[in-house]
Amino acid sequence: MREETKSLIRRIVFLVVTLGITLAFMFPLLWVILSSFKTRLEIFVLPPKWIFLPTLQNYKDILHSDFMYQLKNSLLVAAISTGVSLVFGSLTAYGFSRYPIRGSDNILFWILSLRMLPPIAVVIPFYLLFRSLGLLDTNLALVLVYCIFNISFSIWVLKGFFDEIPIELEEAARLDGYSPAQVFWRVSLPLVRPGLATTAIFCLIQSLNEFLVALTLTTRRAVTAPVGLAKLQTFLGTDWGRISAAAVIFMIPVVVFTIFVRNELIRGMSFGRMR
Amino acid sequence: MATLVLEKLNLWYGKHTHAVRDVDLVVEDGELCVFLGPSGCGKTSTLRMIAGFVKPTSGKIYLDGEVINDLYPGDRNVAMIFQSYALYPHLTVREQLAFPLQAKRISRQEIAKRVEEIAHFLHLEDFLNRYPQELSAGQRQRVAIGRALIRKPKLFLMDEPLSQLDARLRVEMRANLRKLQQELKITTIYVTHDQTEAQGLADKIMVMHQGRVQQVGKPIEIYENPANLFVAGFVGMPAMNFLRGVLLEEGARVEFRGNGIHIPLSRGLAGRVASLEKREVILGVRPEHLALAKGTTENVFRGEVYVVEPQSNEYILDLKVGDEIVKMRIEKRELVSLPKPGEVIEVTFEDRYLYLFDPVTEKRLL
Repeated sequence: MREETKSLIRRIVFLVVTLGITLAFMFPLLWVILSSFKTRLEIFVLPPKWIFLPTLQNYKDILHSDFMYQLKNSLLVAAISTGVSLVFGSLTAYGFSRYPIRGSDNILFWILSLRMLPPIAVVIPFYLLFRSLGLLDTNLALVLVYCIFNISFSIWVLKGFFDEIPIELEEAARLDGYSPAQVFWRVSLPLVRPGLATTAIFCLIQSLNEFLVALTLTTRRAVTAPVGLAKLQTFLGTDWGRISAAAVIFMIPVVVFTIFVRNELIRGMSFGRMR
Repeated sequence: MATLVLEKLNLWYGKHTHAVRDVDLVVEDGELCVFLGPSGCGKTSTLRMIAGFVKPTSGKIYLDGEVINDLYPGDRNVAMIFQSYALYPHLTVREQLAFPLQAKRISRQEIAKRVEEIAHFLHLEDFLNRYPQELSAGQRQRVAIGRALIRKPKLFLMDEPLSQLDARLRVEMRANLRKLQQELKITTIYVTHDQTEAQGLADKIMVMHQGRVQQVGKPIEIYENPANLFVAGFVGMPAMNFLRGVLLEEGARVEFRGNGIHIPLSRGLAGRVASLEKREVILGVRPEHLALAKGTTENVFRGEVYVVEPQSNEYILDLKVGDEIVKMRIEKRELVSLPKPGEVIEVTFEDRYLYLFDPVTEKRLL
């Protein structure tokens, strides 16, 4: 066989395999999106209908339900905890990356261990803690809990990015007349932008998706979208159309944010060399 | 415009590494002083102490008579060109140049004016809006120089600034750097392990080895009057030949005897050698100071041609003399024909080109 034909075949096989994998991952998503436009009856028809007259009724119902309020809660909690985590995470990571700290390996491992905690193990203590603080069913309680998980994650990811910055860049800035704080702000932080984007996405997704803690610590006012979604399954039956519509709406913020920081994210994932 | 004085400077890394030992140095106003030495000799550590990135364990650094040991790097008015140039990847050339000025309270108009000036001076006008990644190595270096010059520092530090350039550009930039430094008359410290660079650039060379200053002097002094075995061996290409042996007196004559080598020394040398107490010596002679012996019987030895390395206008010959290899540089026009391996030739040197070192202290005896 000629070399060109061989390489052509190789490319086709590669494409088919990647397409297959992508489809396998995207299929549930597609199913949800299709279901959100179907009527109750159409959802359960076998074999599934691929072509149908879409209805917006599910979306109308959801837009006028509690779900929008719960989504607002979710976004608020996620945004605040992500922001706080980035601020504390980047400062702490920079400290660990640049200054000799006695036993820093052990401290870093302890920080990471916070993230390894199974939530189910801490959810009852959290409940008792927040009850005595009078913070049950508040957004603040969730922000605090999510920060615990997100800050430890931010520190680890961002430390890697700060370690990548050649020390000469900071030394040059110090010689140029900048104080250590200014060096951090004007040189180091701009150089880890891809890291900040990556961290932000992961923190955001983690906070938006969190279910167990939110379920335990909230009852009415501070209920978040995942909990709200679950509550759409009632003893009167499950309205899959509305759940699908809610799920689609819930996806939108993350998708939009991801598109927004896409370029930084790609650089962050590939840990692009900076020099 | 500044004079730099180092006084008994010491640096320890932890408890076990004594990186810099008792360094004393005076660099006069407008001088270019090269720190020369192999890697790990303490030259970069000394430079970093002057910049303020590490604190000396003991000793003092004076800049214009003022002790700067405890000053923050940014308060020393010292500029540095790093080996990697350390250009900020997120800033354009224009922003790089303005960066040091923005740290001070200088008006926007003034900054813009000075950026224009320096860009013009270094021929960077066309690249002002580019990022460092989009520049060639030579252009990057000019940006680094510009960023250092723009705030008119008292002292200029350069850490192997040419090592990242290819050979051709290196020679070109070497001349440019020299011209620039002489025009601006900025006191400069230049760190390198490349002796050609040191010879070409320096007003003064400080040779370092194992954290200690070996010798300080003009380039020509370092070459002609090395203080010890290390300096003699480090400066010069190819390195000086060293032969271990003893000096034997035979009547009025003196002979050097080494590893299967014996060299009858001239009367003149015999007189000077006679005053030495040491009989055991290391004899040194530079490859470029060896010549074909034409009938003389003094300072002569015979060697068998072992390897021939033709260069552009000369040969570098490895001669097998006794059990030693002696390198010799000889211009092509001095030879009738290409020397062949196995051929035996007689080689001589002039009295003034003989060096003797103490094998124990490694100090220069003659």
